[in-house]
Amino acid sequence: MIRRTVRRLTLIFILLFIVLPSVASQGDSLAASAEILAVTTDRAVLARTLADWAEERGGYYTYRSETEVHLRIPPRQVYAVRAFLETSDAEILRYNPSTVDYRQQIADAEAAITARTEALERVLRYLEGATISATLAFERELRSLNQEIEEYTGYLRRLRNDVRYARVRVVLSGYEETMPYLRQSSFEWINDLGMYSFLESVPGGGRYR
Amino acid sequence: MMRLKRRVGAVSTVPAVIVVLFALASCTTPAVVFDVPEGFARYVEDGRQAAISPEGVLVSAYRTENKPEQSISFWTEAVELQLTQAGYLLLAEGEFATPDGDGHFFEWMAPLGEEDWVYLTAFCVDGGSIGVVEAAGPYDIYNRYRERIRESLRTVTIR
Repeated sequence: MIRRTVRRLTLIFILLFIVLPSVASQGDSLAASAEILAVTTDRAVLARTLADWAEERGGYYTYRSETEVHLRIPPRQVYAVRAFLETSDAEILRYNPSTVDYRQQIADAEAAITARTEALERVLRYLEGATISATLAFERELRSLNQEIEEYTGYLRRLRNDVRYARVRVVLSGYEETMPYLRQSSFEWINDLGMYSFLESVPGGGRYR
Repeated sequence: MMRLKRRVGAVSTVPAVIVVLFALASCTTPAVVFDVPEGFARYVEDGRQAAISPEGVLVSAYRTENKPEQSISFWTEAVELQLTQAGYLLLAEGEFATPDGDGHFFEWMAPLGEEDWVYLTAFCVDGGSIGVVEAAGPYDIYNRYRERIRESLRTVTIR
């Protein structure tokens, strides 16, 4: 009876203090993102609707124009963007979701902060009995350590924010900076295909030249 | 005298023949015909049947040689490869049946100025001939006519 209780308590201990934290830490280091290329009849309306949608879902937008919307949304909402676009009048031409595991970067940043904080404490201890010239050297070291800690803290904050909010870039147009060009095909009639040559050759298409 | 009359007669018939030939050429039936989508105006120019919507969506058809003679699936692959490599974004594709044989169409996205345009490439194979239909229009306007244009592809006939 006692053995069983001990075994059960041991299992609960393992589950609570070893397994669950490691699972949680795995989930807390994945940064999701998605690139979506969609085309719609009214870009301005869809851009506005997307921004409103992101806010309703606990996120926000960082950039909005008639051709592009950049969203920061909770990671679990990344797939919902696609569903949302599909229910609107948009056609999705490209959808590229991806994830990056920042576990190593987060661990490195945390270790760097810890190491510099410890160094800072040591320098502060030395500072108490230091001479004037040593004090000046220690102050320089303190400033440098403080600066490094701030930089790593900022970097860590950015990583955690990327984990907390997925990045979604929605391009609301098929418009690209470069015009499609035709490579030479081995077949003559296929070489004649293309929207621009069509508009030039077809009677009545000349006004689009 | 008779010889002179015959010469005069021959000289006067030459312009007449030329006029008739020009007239026939201008009335030539296009090599590829199709039922014009509803709401489009039909016209024939340079031996091609074309149609235009009030907003300027264009549809046009022509015949080309099936050379080297290949099946519809071969040309489907070749056209898709060519236009994809050229940077066109594929919106939709599908098959259609015409009185002359099976056809395939692609709808692509391409920029024109700062607008998104849809460019349709459709073709059907009939022995040694390929009937090619092309259409283009601004995305939102083309969308209004999309079904009508697709419907008219089924009526493509190569002569």
